[in-house]
Amino acid sequence: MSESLGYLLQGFAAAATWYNLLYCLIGVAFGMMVGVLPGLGPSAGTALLLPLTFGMGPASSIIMLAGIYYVAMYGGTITSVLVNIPGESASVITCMEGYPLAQKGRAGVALGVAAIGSFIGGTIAMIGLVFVGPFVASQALKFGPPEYFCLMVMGMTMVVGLMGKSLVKGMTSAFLGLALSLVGLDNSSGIARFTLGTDYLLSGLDFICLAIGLFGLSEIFLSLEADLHSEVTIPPIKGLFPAKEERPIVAKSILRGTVLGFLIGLVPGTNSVIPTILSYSLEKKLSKHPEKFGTGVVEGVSGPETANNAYCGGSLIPLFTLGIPTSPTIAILLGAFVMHGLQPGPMLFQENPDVVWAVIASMFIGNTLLLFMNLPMAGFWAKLTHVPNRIMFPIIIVLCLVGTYSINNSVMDVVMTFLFGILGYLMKKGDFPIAPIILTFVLGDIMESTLVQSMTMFRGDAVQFVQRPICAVMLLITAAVLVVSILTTAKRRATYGDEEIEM
Amino acid sequence: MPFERGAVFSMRKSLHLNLGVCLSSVTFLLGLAMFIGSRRMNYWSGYGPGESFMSTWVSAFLVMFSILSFFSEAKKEGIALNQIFPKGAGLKNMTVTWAALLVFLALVTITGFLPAAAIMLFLLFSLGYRWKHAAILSVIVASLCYVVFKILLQVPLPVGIFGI
Repeated sequence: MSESLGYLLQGFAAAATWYNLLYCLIGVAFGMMVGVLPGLGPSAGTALLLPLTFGMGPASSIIMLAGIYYVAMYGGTITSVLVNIPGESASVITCMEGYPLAQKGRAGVALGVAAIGSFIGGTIAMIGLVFVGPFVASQALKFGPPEYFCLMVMGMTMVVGLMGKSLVKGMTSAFLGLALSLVGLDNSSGIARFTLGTDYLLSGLDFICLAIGLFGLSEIFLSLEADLHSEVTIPPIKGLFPAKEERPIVAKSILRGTVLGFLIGLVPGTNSVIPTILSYSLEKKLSKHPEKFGTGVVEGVSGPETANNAYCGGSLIPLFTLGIPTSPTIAILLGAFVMHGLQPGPMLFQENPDVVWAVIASMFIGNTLLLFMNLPMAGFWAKLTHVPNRIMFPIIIVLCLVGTYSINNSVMDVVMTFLFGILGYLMKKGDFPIAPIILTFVLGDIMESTLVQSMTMFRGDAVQFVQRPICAVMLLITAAVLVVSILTTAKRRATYGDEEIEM
Repeated sequence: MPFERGAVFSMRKSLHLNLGVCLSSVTFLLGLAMFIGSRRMNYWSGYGPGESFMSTWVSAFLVMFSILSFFSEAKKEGIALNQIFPKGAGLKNMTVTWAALLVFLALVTITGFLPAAAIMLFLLFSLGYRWKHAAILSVIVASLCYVVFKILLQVPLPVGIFGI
């Protein structure tokens, strides 16, 4: 434990350099913008900034990208409270209590408790990461290639099984991502696979093209279906703190939200919406006046908002210690690690402590920045909602194009991004989940190498996977997740019929 | 159980050609092509798995889940093919945006970034502004991008016949 604290202090020293503070500030500010602007989620925002980090050091670039991830959660709250439009999916539940509070003239209180809750939840989750992370990583060091392969299979199945979409569609997307990751030269034999005879595909499909196309462009294409001329009016923001009698209730909801969000963050396949829904339900159940929920109740904002920020901290543990991304944004962060020559996993804490502890320390700083940028500046961020889509979308599109071109100075990359944008648009309309494609595409390389190493060790006898205790447990969990997913589908089909079998 | 023509007819009648079915068909064809391609490579080398070991299994699973998805989607009404794209202003926005991107891709290697981006932005801004304002905005935004990325951040941008 003292070792972790020592490393954390060194991390603070690295994160507190002027350039890292600047990148942290840029990440936090961009994250706020991404959260406030409807139609741009944290995944799209992180993907957009990814190409700009080429010239930066690994610590600085990940500090900036991580800033977008955890701050976008709060940015979405502002539009949920003020104009009843969730800036990103985790803020949907905030609309239920936040907007009625704003209509009662208590928008400031809603934003205030959300900012304080986000700060407390995020900070406690980071403390959890500091102490739990190195322990999990040290345990994971016992893993060999077969355990790693099973871990990734388990993670992939949980993502698909728990993410709330059709299991069959999720699996199709997951295997599509894996198939796309196989394009290019085979790592061990150097033989070209599925390159269609072109030199362009020899190095494989680029992760950034895939991420910007599927998350960035497709989101804009979808938003273009709506009216580009819509304008919003913002209510006044007064008084940021709750009334005296509300304070103990808010404090308890923040604590409950922190625990709930952190624990759910540890489970691959969950997303930031789940802790907010659970926290809201929990607050309603524990409330002395559940009938008032829906009319503007402060703990209905503070609990879920705390939970989604605590979730962000918790979800970094599987990434830092096991190299398993638990959500699309985390998958893009994983891509950023790989792009800068780092491999998240148990060795990360040992091989790159300078980077990992600087990133963790920067998150403490970023959370504090979030508090200071929001309590007095909520009104400023809310004004961003006045920027109409008719001016925002062309600028975002041109940034996407510049970003993808800059990867390899190749127009083909821009063409691929456009094609992935169209694919993402069609898949979203057809309700095929996008997240599994990114998750499996990122994991594809390491899944293949661990599978090949395992099969070489086993001399082709795959049964030996189940003879290793850790592998057997993980495969059992995988099977259980699949069975639960299938049973849930069957139950819903029995209740709602074929039209309502989405899980 | 006797064969009932009516039952078969009603089952056929309840199958729908929709977006989900089309997407499943595309993933099926992709999986099938990869599976056939994998069979032409080494599945197993002298000491361990060959270059097509993983791709054989992945493409086989992709084919399997695509078939399952095809039938599961065909049972639903889903989004009919003529409902994929929006109507009215939404359709205009989509068409102009995709056309603008295609124009950019066609021009960028010939004219370079600045003129291609300005033309693309003009088309995009014309969706929400009068053409004069759209022209001014497109030149300003394209020039700003050029200055910020090419000059300040030293990010290489496509260069064309005008040298910009």
